[in-house]
Amino acid sequence: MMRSLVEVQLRTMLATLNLHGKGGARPSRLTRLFAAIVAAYVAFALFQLFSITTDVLCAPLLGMGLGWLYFSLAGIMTIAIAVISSLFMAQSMLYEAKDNEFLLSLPIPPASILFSRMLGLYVQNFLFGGIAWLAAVVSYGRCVTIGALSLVFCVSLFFLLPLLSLALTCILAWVVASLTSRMRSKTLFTMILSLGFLGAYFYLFSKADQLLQQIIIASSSIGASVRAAFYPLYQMGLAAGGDPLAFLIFTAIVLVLFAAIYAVLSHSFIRLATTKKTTVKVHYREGALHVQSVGRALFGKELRRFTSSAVYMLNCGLGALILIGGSVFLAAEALMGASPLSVMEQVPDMMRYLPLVACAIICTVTAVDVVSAPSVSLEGNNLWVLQSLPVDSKQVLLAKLKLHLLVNTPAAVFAAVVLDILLMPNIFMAALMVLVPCAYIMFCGELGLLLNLRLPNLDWTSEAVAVKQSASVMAAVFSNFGVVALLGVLFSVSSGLISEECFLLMTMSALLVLSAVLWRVLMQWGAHRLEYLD
Amino acid sequence: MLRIEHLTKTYGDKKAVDDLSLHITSGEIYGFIGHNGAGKTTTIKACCGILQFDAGKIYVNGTSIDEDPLACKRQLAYLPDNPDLYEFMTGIQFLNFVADIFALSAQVRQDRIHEYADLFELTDDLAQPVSAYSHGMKQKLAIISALIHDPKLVVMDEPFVGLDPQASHILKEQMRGICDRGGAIFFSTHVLEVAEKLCDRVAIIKDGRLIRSGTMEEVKGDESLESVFLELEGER
Repeated sequence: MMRSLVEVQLRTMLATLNLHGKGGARPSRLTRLFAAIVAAYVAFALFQLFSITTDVLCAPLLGMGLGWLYFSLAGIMTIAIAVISSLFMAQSMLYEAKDNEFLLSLPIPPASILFSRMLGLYVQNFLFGGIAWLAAVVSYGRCVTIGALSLVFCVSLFFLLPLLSLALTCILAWVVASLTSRMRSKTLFTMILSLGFLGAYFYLFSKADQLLQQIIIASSSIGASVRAAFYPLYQMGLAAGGDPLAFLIFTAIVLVLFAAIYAVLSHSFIRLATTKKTTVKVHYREGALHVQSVGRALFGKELRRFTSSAVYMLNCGLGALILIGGSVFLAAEALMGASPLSVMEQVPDMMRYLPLVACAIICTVTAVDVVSAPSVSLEGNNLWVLQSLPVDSKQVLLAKLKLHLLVNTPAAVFAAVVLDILLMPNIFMAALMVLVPCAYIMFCGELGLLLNLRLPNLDWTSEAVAVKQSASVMAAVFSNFGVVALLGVLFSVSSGLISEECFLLMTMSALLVLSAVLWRVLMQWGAHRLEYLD
Repeated sequence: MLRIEHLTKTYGDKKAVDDLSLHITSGEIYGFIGHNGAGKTTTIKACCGILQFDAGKIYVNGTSIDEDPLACKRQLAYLPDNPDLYEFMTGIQFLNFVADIFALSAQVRQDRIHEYADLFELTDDLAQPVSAYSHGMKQKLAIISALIHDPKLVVMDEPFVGLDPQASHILKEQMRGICDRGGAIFFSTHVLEVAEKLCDRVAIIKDGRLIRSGTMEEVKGDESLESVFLELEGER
């Protein structure tokens, strides 16, 4: 029974990748290869990112004889990454899973259901946290020869640390689920919480150099604090260095903590999983109804769909937020008399290329805002509504494209205008810096829609799957990045042959021509496809 | 009002609907009966222009669904077997959205929403998000959204599932009312007692093929519809 539950859980996790063909057919070799390349790329990129931190910390702390503090800090990073990456997933998997009631109606002990769900979360914690821990161990190996015991314990910690982060994730997810269950504006709360995490991440990332230096300078006092306040992490740090007693103590602490949390959750699982959320009923009062054209009604529907989903907004609107935030930051720095772009002057010829680089950065940031790429999938079981109403599919597609433009274009234009003011290029270049990102956004919007019409996922059980993990979204993000990369290559090849303005003009023309072609395909093949999509 | 001529739809090797012809005239409630997987939903979806078919013709009030689907959809309303509605909207937002699509004037939509929401006792819940609705409430909302543009033809797939007895009774009255005003109803059901009492004509489909159709008297004679259906289903 337990094996079946675990199998179902793992199958569900794999199914979210939506690699299967129509009717659940085995994914093609090409699809599997693509998925493997994407996974390897993401893992490598994360590994490199974590290595930056661990490389900086490792040598100085080892030099001061604080190897245990290095591992303790690496452990904190591992646990934090694992908890943040799996918190919202834990909330939906443990407390809001659609099949909770079905499974509870079967002769299965609630503890077994919980165990299977926690195992799925453990795998997720293991994957994300494991990369951070691997980076720490590799950095350590670069500085010193790792002893046999230390190696054994470091490998064991690969499996123990996710258990600790899983325990913390479950507690936090329970807190979040309890808080949001009584809230009317759950979307807003989730948005604020997520943006809070993100803001903290960006703040720490921007201050990483200073923080790491401060850690190194104040390592003795930090070490004393960790030893006093985070005793398990102190033992973990010693264990990773090869201390058997510390390893036993840390293992015991983790197992006891996990067992305690598992016991508490098992005891209350039925209540947590089946309690209906309390919502305050709003009574309808008749008033004048707002009359709109079909086009506006469809666009309003798309906008409402977007703003009602924290997952959709966060994953497909983040680029716009970054552009606005970054531009405000640069403008504020400039207003306060600082010269935020002066660092670029140190790079030879950089000022000449800066407008081009600014343009590329705006395009790259908007590339992640694939608003249109999951928009067809998000219709899900509701697709019949649009299909059965007397509405032209072209208008439906146009509404989806408009939302993509609305989310991205104002932010990109704002960023381009701020950079225009800061860089003061000639008027032609200034105009191109605004127009090229606009053309790029149009192209990406159309491409995303087409990809989603080609690779729809209408059978999702959680909209996060359609927004974050579906094939069309991944293909759209990589295609968008690919276009910017291709333009970068083309520029470096043509460098010296044509001016920067000429290159941007040609880029804009090419994007507009491609957009016109995609528009034609959308209005013919795409509209027909949407009409009968099943 | 609805004419289906030699409709054929194939999924892979399986013929879901095989050379089906039906004619539903104005003022008629037409029941569509068959076992699970007989081809009822496929036929209904094809009639509403949301499923492409391989062969045949479907006309809604004389207009081909193939050639002018929008003109057909303006005259009909479709009610699916599972009322999956936009959960990110409130009930009133959903009804207003449908009213916008049918370009109903402010007064007309106001009056009709008021009338039908009161009738199905949903007025008080219209400000609630659809996600908070029960299955029956969603079904009622879907029915109201189907009726507010005063369709000439209503195509329904198992419309009584999930409805309470009172709402079922009101729906039956509305169905008769539409027919009395010159409209037509084409609906599938597994509840043979309802079909027997409500329908003017009935068609029985088996494995995609029409095996009997006609007025209720022609189809069942002196027997009950249930015994006729079971007898036909048992035949090879």
